[in-house]
Amino acid sequence: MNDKNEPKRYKSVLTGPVTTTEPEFLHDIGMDRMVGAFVALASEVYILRYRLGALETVLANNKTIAEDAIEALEETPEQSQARQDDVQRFVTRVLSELHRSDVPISHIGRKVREMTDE
Amino acid sequence: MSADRANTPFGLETTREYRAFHTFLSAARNHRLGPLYEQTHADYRRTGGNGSSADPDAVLDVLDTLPAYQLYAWAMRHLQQFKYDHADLGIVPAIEENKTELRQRLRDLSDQGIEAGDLVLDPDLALPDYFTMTDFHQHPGGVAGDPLAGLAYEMARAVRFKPGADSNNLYRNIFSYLPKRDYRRVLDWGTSFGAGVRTWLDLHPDTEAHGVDLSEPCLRLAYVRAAERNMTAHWRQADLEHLPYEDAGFDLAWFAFMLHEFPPARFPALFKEAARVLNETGVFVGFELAYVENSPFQNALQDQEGWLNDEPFMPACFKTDFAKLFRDAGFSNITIRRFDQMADNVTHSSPDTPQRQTWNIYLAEK
Repeated sequence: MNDKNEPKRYKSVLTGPVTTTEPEFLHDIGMDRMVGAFVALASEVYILRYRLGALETVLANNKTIAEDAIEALEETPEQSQARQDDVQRFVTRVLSELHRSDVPISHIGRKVREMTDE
Repeated sequence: MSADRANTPFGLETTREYRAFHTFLSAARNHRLGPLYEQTHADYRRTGGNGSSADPDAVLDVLDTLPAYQLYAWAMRHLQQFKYDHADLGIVPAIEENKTELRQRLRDLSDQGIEAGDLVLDPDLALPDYFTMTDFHQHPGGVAGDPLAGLAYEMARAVRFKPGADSNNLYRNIFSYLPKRDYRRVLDWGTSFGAGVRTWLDLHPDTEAHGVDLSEPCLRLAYVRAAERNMTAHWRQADLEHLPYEDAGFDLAWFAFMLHEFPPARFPALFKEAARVLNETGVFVGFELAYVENSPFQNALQDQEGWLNDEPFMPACFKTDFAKLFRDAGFSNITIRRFDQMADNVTHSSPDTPQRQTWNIYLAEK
């Protein structure tokens, strides 16, 4: 039986400030939609890949770079290190979202809840 | 990423990756405010929300079940977190990478204002608990927590308005409501990093402009930004409940988006203090988000945005009787009306969908 004095529990709607851990909002977005977003993102990645390939061809045709310039590239140790740093930043940016802390990045003291009454 | 050099305006020299990331976030935000909001409204209506229920809980019951709303809520909270805190591309970590040089430069530049007497800080100021206990709009550490918090806030605000919009246009909109008078000495009530003062001085360069705020980092930046434009203004760190000015010394005081930052219990003291420093024909003017009459859907959404974005006093602000508070504080001629010009500065949904937010402009005369 519901206690009338207890605040109603919602899945995604909030009834006060976030003072402890991050709420979960996404409960009912179907897999079809999630897959749709992934496919859309994949198509955007392919568009970039297509245009990059075209750009390499244009540059090779214009003799701006050798045909095998990308594959034959030998980086200096400094360039190699910069590439390693770049891939590490890339991986961190993406994968850190999967294990993001549920402690909010901003803080609201619990006492604030009492100050919010009109 | 490197900090600015000595002969350039104070700030962070951002990388192309940083700019690309924030351009993407801005577009994602516009998607939330446009198509996603429209879908949420359409689903709300289709699922039984009739838009006229007097029971706010009935709106929440419907919203809570809508996938579109769930994504809207996620985007509201988490895109802001991406903006401030994402890996090395968020505003705070980007500044953090250059904090030593930036802190030193801000201190060096703003100390010139202290020496000149244009910037007066109060190291003994006791910041109010509502301010220290709330990281407003999810700004990590709040707008006074780090010496560079003002810079972070300025960078965050730069991407808040719709693409291409002049973020200072809102001040010009406020000033357009003023009765035609000769305002010689004016006060920006909660000036932050001083954008309102600079906009005022652009329009009225021969007047004496003051800005007051709780945040030392914002005030130091306010001084620097004015100095970069060869503007002279007067900046004070103070609690707005205890203004460090004489009685009746100002012709005008204005505010922008300030009222939702206060717990409702503070309003009587705040407004009485504002009335005290205005002269006998003084004007107090400003704008704030407001409920829409008979629109429980929009109002529920506005409440949610308060909770979602760490603006915990916003829902109470919507329900406050400001006309009574202004009267009780000593103002006699009070006008409250819709501030539709503000809509020019933000992203819209389609005309078929009710406006997501509305604003009131408050004009109170002694």
